Amino acid sequence: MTVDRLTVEYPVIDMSRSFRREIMTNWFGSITMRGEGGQKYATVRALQNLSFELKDGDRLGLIGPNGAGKSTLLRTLAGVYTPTSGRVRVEGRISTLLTIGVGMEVEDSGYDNIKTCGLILGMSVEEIEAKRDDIVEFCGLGDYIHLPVRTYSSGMMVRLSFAIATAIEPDVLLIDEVIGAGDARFSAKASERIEKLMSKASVLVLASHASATIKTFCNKGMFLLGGRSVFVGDVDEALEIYNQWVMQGDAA
Amino acid sequence: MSDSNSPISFGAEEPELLIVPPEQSDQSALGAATSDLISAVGNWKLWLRLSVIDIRNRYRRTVLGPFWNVLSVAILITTLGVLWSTIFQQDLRTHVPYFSAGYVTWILIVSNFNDHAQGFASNGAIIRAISLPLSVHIIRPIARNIMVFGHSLIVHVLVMIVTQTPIMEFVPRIGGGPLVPVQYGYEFFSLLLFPVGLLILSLNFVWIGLILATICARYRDVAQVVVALLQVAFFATPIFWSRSVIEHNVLADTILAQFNPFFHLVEVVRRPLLGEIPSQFTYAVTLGGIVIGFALAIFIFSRYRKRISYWV
Repeated sequence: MTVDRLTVEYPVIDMSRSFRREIMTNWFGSITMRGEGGQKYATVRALQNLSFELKDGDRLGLIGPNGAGKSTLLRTLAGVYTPTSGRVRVEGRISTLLTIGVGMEVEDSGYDNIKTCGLILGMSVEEIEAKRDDIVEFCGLGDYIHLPVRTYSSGMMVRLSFAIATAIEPDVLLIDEVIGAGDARFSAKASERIEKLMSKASVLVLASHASATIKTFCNKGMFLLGGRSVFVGDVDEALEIYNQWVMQGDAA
Repeated sequence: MSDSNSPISFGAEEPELLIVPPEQSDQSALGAATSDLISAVGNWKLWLRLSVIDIRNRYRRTVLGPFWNVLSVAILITTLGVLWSTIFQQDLRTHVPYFSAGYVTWILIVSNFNDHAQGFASNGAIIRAISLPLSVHIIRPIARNIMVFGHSLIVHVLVMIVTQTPIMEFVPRIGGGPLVPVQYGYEFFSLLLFPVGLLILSLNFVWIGLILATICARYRDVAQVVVALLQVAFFATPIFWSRSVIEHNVLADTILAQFNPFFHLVEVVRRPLLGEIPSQFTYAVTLGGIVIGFALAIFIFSRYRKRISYWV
């Protein structure tokens, strides 16, 4: 996976006129106006000039405050957002866990949703059937797996979603925050599973603002701030710099 | 945010932004849009499952299930069919089947339009989380609406049996009563044209859906305009009234039938349902629509496909 001087800007469609005037008079940094005359619209520069490279077995933890661009980076890597400039090269099969319960039919049982979500994530029917028991076993929901998903707690949703997303055996696994909703036992199980995936030469990118989560799952760290990468490298070092930044904010 | 006294500065001095053009090498926007469409069609197991789930969810925990749809269509067709054939002083035996065939087709058309206007807008969660071919969200409602249409069709078949239209020659007669001659003759060939008509209609909705969903994702007002226009279109198109009513008026006939795209979309399915063959002009309009429409849809879709995830 290679990311070269990536910049992502996205248009803001709904905006009040007063806010529009505000931007024109005093600028907000990452929010800029594009277009001319009546066609003017605001864009948010969510990522600026990002470059990094990940090799097989790399587990990158994205850390940073809210609005740092973590989710935007994950979505760009997933192919949902298109770079405004720069290049993104992702090789292999991608599996995403960006929003919990996306694509799930809340009225259907967890068991039925394994097939639905599997298809959405790009698995074939045969593959799903082959892995279904494994998924059921891994998420450890017991008989709840046959109840409608709407009765699930958020932790149970995370278990199920994670089990499906990792069952694909992806080359690239993208996870946003969500994983924190699982309990300690699940966290240990998840970490074990990711370890196993990584041994089969995959790449993980995980976003979180919880240092503990990053520490559990990642061996590399990237500290994002205002869409820019402040630090990329060793996970402990990245977390240290992040903590320093947090403390600095407290002092000020 | 940055403090010059701190050992590490956070995003203080920013280098000049380097603009690297986005990767264009792999495929052009046109190719990407086409392959989006093709891979969506190829992923039939997904959209078929999703559309079945849609139907199941709609009638979940109801006793009659999808037959609620059949029941409501049946009530509407019998009451309005009888009412209008009285008002327009038409033969009940010809007018009610004509109305039922036209009306079930119209429901299919309207629900496609309405679903497509929300096609991307209502699937924002999936679009922003998973890189799935966007056209899946176009094909899914088409498949779903065809299934609903299949249910509504039961009503039309019942109407044909009750009114003893000449299709009765091919099904066992009930009660052995004499068949009343009706002014149109049934041809077996026209029955084969029914799936063809349904296919033509559905293909037309692929391109209509792509354009509509793309525009409505950006301009949400368009969806409301579509709803308003469709209501007018129902009354302005020969569905509950026969084209023969306006035949003497050349201007009305030209506007409401000849150059009314809704008329031809209805005709291509309705006529075979009545044992008739659609006119050549109808086929010319609907098939020509597919050719021109797809070219236009691919052009629009390829231009704006990448921005849709930002709009929804």
